[in-house]
Amino acid sequence: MSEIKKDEVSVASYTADYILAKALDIGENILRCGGEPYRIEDTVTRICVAYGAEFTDIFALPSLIIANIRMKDGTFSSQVRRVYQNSNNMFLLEKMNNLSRDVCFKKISLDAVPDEIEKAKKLKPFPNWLCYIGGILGAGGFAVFFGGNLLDALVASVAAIVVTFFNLHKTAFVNQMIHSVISSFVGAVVSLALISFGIGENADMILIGVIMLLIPGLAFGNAVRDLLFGDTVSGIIQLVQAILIAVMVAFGFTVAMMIFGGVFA
Amino acid sequence: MNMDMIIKIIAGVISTVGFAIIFRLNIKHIPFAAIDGLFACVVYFCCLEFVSDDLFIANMSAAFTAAGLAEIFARIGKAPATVFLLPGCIALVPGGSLYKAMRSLLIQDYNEFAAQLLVTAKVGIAIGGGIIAVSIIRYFLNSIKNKNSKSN
Repeated sequence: MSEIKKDEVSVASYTADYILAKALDIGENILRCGGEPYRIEDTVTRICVAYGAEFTDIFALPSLIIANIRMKDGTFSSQVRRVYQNSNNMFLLEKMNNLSRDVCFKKISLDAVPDEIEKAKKLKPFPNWLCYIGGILGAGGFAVFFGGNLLDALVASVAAIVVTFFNLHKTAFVNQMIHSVISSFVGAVVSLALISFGIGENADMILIGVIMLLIPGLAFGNAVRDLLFGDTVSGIIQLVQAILIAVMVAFGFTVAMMIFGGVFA
Repeated sequence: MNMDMIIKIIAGVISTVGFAIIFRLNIKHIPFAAIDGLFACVVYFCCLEFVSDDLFIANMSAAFTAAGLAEIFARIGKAPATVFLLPGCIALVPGGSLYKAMRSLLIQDYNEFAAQLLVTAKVGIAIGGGIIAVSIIRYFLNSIKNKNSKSN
């Protein structure tokens, strides 16, 4: 009984500004934790239409959402959100996706959206130390994948611990580029130092294992996907970002290799 | 299927699990992501071994498999397909050739640099193409489904 009442109130009394603001809150969080731009456009459109928008124009870029909606009674709202992208967080993405679905089907009222977002942000799938295990498995696995032996995997794992530490404290750096340079430099120094002590045989395989943690290879694939799908602008932005980060990672590695020049000669 | 290939596939699955943790997947989705990565690796190596030694075809079919399985797992696990796709195709990412391109730049071997950079671009386009193929199939299936439900 109370649910039906809430439902009637929700559609009737919300203003266009309020509906769009709450829809953009969810869209912003999806974009921030690694959702594709078209997913944001889709989500925001669905929520606005579910709450009585007649006409919607949503455009999302990796760093910006532009939205304009017009309600059935003729009132309209335009809002812009600047989004600062965070690292990939699939757990939060999933929670936000479920939240948007619940909001669309009126299981959760629009008023509860900020609380639900805060609640979802506080939930963690696992403690931070497990990320180090993830880094170790990732780098060690790739060292073997590209043809190294178990000792190489061990060296790559040690370097991965350092790189993961830098990844977890990303916000301490000025921006993504500087973070890439510093973390790739430190990762390369650690692995090259261990190699020069005689641990690990194939320097190439170890460095590829470490580099896989830093290289935005997936961003590159996503960029091509967006370009082919017709999202030309967001595709180009992601492509340029991916290439720039790759150059920065390469720069960090190059400096480290020059310092340890003797190892490679 | 020789021993070396099996070891590489196992290593690929281990790194898929590692990246699933780095991307902070929900714990209950990690096994699905691992299966996704396993199939991507198996298709990749089988293509290289039995079909052709062209990286484009191998990467494209592996990305296609990973994206297709991700769509299926998304229906089963009730989560966006990206959740499974991102770790699933991490083993295909052209990090190796990008590293080689960069090392060639360091030792001033510009021909090798250009060659490896082109390989990186080729693999990237292949992965994007594989993913987009699945998106197109999904789009068509959805439009057919919508048309049917409207006519009924």
